[in-house]
Amino acid sequence: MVREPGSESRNEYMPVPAKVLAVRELAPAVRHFVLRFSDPELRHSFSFCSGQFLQVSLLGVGEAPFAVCSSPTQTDSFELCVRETGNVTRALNRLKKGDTLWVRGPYGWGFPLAEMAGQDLVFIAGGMGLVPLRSALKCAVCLDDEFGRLTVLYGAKNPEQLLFRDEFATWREGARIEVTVDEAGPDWDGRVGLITRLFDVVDLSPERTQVLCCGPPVMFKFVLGRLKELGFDDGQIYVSLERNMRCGVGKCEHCVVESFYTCRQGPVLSIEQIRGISSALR
Amino acid sequence: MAFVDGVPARREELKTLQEVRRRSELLVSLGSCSSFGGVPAAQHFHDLSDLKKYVYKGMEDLHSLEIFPISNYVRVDFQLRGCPASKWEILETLTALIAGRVPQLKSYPQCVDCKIRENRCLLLDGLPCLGPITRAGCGVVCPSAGVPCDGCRGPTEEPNLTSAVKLLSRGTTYPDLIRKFQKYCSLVPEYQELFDKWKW
Amino acid sequence: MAEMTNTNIGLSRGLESTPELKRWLLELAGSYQVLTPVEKGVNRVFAEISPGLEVVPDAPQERTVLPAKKAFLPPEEPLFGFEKDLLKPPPQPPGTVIFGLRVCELSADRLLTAAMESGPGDYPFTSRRRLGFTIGVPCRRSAACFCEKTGHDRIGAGDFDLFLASSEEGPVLWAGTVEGRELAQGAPFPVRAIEEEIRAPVPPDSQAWPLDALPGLLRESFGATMWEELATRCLGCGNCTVVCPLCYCFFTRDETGWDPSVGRRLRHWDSCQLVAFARVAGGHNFREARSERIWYRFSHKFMRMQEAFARPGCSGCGACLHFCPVDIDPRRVIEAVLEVTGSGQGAR
Repeated sequence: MVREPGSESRNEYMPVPAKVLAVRELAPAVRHFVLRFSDPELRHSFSFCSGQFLQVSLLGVGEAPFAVCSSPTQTDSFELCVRETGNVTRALNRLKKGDTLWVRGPYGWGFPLAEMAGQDLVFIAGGMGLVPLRSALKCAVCLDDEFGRLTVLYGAKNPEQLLFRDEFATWREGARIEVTVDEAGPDWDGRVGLITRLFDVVDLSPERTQVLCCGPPVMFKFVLGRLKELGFDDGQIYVSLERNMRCGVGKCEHCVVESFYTCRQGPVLSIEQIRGISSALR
Repeated sequence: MAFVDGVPARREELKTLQEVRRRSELLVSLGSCSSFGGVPAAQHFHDLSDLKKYVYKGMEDLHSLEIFPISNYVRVDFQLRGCPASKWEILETLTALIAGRVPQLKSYPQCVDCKIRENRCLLLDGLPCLGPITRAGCGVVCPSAGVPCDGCRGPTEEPNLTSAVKLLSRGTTYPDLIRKFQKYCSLVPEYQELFDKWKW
Repeated sequence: MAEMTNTNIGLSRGLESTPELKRWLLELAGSYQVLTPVEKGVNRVFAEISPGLEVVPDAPQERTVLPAKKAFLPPEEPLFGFEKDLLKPPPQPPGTVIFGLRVCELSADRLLTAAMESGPGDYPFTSRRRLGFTIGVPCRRSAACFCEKTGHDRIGAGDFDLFLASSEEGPVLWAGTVEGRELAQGAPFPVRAIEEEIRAPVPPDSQAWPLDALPGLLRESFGATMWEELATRCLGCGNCTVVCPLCYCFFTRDETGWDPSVGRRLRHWDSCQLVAFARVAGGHNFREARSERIWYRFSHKFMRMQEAFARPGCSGCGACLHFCPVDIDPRRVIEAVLEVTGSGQGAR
């Protein structure tokens, strides 16, 4: 038993402040924040891996986990997307430029981009699933010599719920972006249909390709089915899971899925790692 | 912000309730009666004429509306259960709204808090304590004083009533157990199946 | 040297609450928070010693309501305080001496500490535990005990600070750590360094369950009707998790006063048996069915913790069985898992 105060002497539960540099509405009930740590030291030293998350809180309100949606290569500031669903998110979405929120992290296991060097990357995002993938995508685009072809398949319920539409043009300079919505009004001149329809539009082959996938549970079922048909191995597909992560450090037990902590062994896991765990992709 | 306790029993009270709702940004039901019917709701299982004859003898011109929780008539933003409502929950509701957070009220059974207070378990003594199926939040006042919980705060989430009835029947008779449930929870949805099966 | 079992160190004699013991504990109370098992009405609880309280050193057949974990992981505690934009660390925890722990409790304490120290350590726990001392006592086998089934029936050097046992010469303090030895300076009993294991009194031919195999068997048993059957009885009351020495999950909430900029972030014991445990904002519940919550509890202890620490997160103390209103017996549950998966091992 550790008797001397060592590395354990840091209270992991105490957050640090960050200021809101900018905030805008991205979609109904979804806001996009650009943040900067109050501590200048932290602005330089903060680093993370796409797919990792921060525990974000407002003092007096509560705390919730959010994946960082900006690229790790972005210095001096970082970005989050907040969809209003409950106590914390509702309060966060009331913040204005100049307000302070509190952050700790990064936690968890992100997308292993370093191991994917030289390969083609396919990003499959459903709804809010684009949030952690945007971080990985922007990172890959930034380091474009490192990777092969970049393809993004993105689906949302309707055009209003598409996130970061204003950035698609920039992304298209480094990646192929295909978008679809489940349903649309007459103003929409893009594709309508399930995300699996996009598989017919692009040429996906499992050869030297890695898949990064995030979205609602129902999406996983169909997408994984198609990937299997195309010959993808379980080890080539990475998913980001959502669970009720509270402490972020594998202590509160809320995010446990059978034998792993979403906050420690996840949230990003390969299909190979979660093979046989039926409740993982719920 | 309005706190409303009790249930409308007269037409004027109903009018007042509606006026209060109209004028309030937030309306909180204070106590079990306004939240889910409470003791007055037991009216549903009795004949009003019997009540007048035996309980309100000499006051036969009394009249009451059919009793329902106030949510039956107006939109309720928060419920503070309990007979009486818990001081802690009232404070949490007020301070939470001031701070901009959703009030963090307990939805788990009394047993958790009772064990944390290291009380003697009345169930283990064979007494019909409704703790396992009753929502915590009052600080387990009754069992801490040696009195079995009689469920005044209403049920916890998804109570296992079948198992609870089997367990609690050991310490009392089945009719008395039903009466115990009906004391506060006559109109609580989770109990209706049980009440339907039992006819006085 | 003969292996020391409780019978060697005075099981049948028990330990009388000698005046010297109480005096020594009261002396320690000058420098530490000293917790001992005391009678609270008809209950037994760990409470701070005071001159008026009778210390009950011999391990109770009637257990304490809350296990010793409450000293290092209180039911509710502040993670930090805040005032405007200033965070204030939680108050410095006191040095704590817990007297009167059984073998299973000491073993559980070791595992709980290992769990809380793993990964980024849990500072609120480790800062208390670091300043904590454990003093064990002999125990008696009760009807609900099954420590040997889960491998928590033995402790050795490093697993405890001191162990008070009686011998022919009178009470002896066995020291399991250097810190324990230091604590015992000034004790009215001879102090000796422990060399052998101390074992709880168990039936001679009772063996551990196949603990290495249980993780796989539990996975296999997911969805089996045995969990549904348990779910018909289980009330979801949370008693089992609260009284368990190896349950440690918690939820957090913020608390403020009339001034919303001043307050604390607290953590509070939670329970995987409660409906809301696996629910996320937006309403989706990852463990909607009670049968799944029950499976989860056993798999967390006998699968996840077994795989992470090579020991199950169940000390075999039987507290959960003792306090369960509907008598759900963890031994029957594990035996059912062994049967349902056809491992052929069964109970021995």
